[in-house]
Amino acid sequence: MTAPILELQSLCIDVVAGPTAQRIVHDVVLTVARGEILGLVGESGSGKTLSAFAVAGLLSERLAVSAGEILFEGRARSFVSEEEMRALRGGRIGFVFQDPLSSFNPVRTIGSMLVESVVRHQRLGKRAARAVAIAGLAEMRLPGSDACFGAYPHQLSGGQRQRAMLALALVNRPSLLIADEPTTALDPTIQLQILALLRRQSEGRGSILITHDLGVAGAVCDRIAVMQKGRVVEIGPCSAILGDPQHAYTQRLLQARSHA
Amino acid sequence: MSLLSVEQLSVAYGRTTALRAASLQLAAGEILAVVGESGSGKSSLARAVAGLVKPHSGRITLDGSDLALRPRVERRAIQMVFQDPDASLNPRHTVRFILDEPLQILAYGPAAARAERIETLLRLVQLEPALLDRRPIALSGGQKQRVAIARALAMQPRVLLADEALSALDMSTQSTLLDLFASLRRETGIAILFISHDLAAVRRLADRVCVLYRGRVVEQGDCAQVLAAPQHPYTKLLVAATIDPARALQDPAFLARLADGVSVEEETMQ
Amino acid sequence: MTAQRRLLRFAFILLLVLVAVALLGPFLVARDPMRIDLAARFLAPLQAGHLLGCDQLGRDVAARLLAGLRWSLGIAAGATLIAFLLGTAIGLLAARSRALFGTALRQVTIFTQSFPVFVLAVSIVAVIGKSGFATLVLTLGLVTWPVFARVVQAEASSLFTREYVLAAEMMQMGGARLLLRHVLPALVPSLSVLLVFHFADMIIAESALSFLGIGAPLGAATWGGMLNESRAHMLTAPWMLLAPAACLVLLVVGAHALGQRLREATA
Repeated sequence: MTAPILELQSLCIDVVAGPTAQRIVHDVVLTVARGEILGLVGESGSGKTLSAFAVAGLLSERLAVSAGEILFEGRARSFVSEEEMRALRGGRIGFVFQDPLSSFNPVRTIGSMLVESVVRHQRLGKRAARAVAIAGLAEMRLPGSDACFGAYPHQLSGGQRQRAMLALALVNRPSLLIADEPTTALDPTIQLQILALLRRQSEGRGSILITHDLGVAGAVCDRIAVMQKGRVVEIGPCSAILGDPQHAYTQRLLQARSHA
Repeated sequence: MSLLSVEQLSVAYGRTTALRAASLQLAAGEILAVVGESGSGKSSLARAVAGLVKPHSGRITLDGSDLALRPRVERRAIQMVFQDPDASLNPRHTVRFILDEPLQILAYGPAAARAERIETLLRLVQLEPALLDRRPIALSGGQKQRVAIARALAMQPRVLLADEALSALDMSTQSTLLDLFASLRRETGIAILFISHDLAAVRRLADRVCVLYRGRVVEQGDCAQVLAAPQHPYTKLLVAATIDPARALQDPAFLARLADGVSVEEETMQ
Repeated sequence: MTAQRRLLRFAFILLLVLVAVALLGPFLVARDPMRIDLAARFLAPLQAGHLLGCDQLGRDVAARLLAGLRWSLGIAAGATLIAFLLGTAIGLLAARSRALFGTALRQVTIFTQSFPVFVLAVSIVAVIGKSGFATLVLTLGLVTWPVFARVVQAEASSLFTREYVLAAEMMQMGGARLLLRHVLPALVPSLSVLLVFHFADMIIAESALSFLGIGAPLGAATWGGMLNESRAHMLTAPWMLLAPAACLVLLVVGAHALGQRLREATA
């Protein structure tokens, strides 16, 4: 068996703003293998987003990894400099956010943001980068990729924006994709389309899908980790979590969803 | 004959047409669900039936008579429950006042009779009389929606419009309100036009379902039948997305079509 | 914070005192503000029973100040009332009929905002050629109503799309009831703040007009007029300048303080 893409070893995160540090993520142990989608499921405040942010080095200044280790492609986070981390983000690690409209720069076209990312991470010339960017959009099946290249974020529909966001996250062929509530703001049918795209793009890389909806996680994930109050309370294959949940919290989440 | 009949109704805002020649019938005591995504024309349909926007063309009839040709007071037979519980109730008024106002407008009777009627309304929506002197800010989202339902019922409507009335509430509250709608129909025989994007809720509550897509009615029929064997590509997609997304994504062909974003129109053309 | 609060309270009380003085005016100072006494020209304050001294024609400054206060408050109150009634009514109508009338009103308010209202008032009064209380009140009121119309239109437009107002409409409740029970109460906070600030603006506008010698009848006691006359004697008889200037500042600051308190209370 090959080594996992990502390994969290007893990860702890503290709020370091006050006089005394306060722990908000406790001893999270996770692995993400190549070709696998891991679902991080929990309600807001469960620590699911923070754990993923820590992987990408996106924690705010008030927060810090206080114990444990993050191994990405076998390398420990502690030995990665801030500069290398910047190169990893957008390069080896792709990130998709819940609301693409507020995470895109509103005054720049989709194409120019893609080209900039390709130029920075793949060290290509403008013209070559442009070809890569257009191919990236086409791969996400954005209708009329040329038109989308020159479009501003607000000119696209919600589904198209999320496809563009995926294109931006995947254009440098990262080995890890982290998607934070990528479908929450979308209509159910569009939501399903984006999840299908995520499933197809999961080949050859590790993916983390952060969601509060067990149904969404159950649709595309291979394994699910359920988080509550900063701890992983249950982890296992999708079928086991959905079919035979052990933890009371997981059972409650499932019940809330299947009210009908 | 159906109680409420919408015939070839179109609604336009400026140059954009939100609803195109939609027709549907609601029988007395029936619960008809209207489903569709945002921008499908659901809300325009609701607002036109409510008399809040003027249709571009088409007719809305109640008991066979065209509402546009009747005195406006006859529209009182149609009342509505809105999506946003926080905006549905006047923040300055107490629950008692909110429920008393429609009774005053109806000239329901002296204060004692109205107080008695308010108690009955509270019982119908399963609220405690202790809430009567509270203002909306002191109510939970579910309680606010119950007060809004009671206010609508105070006008003694024959049709209740529920426009995404549950979607702002959390899951467990949605569930109890679904039960409430079912019990209201049982107890008062009111007909309900239940507008929603949530097929799971629709499946539990509605007798018949009408699917709107891009302003058109694309499918209509018995609720269980439509959900079990959807005909239109959009309905198929919606059923797959809401009822069992996991199974939909396990079908490699379906997965590929979804990921490619094959739009429903393209499929309709084939 | 507390110092600022104390200042606001002081200014507010001051405003109340000034209004009370204006109402009780004739009982407080028995002198005739118009009476010319050449023997008392430039009499300094506190001499011969003249509390604030006399002006270049020997008229009692205190009496003129009081008469000017009554004039100012009267004009400001009248003009504010007219602007308020007219602006609120037109704003409500515009909010109701969003299409044509609403757009027209927006154009009018943009025009009056870009065009100096003061110049408009000056030219209207000059064209009418008649001076007097009613002319001033009507002119200032008719020129400044778009201030109220704009605020009312904006707030009422969003109110008319509020679900509880829609629910009221579906009950087919009468227009008067809808207005009194659901629309106007929601406008009270912002309108009350606007009323007070507008009142202060009208006081300034009136003083400016009377400073230019427009509006008030010849020889009438107005603060603007007193300020104008005092300019020539600023060094020899500073009380002629200081008395009306101080009163004007106190009145306007007092009104602003009241507006500020209302805004905080309703926020």
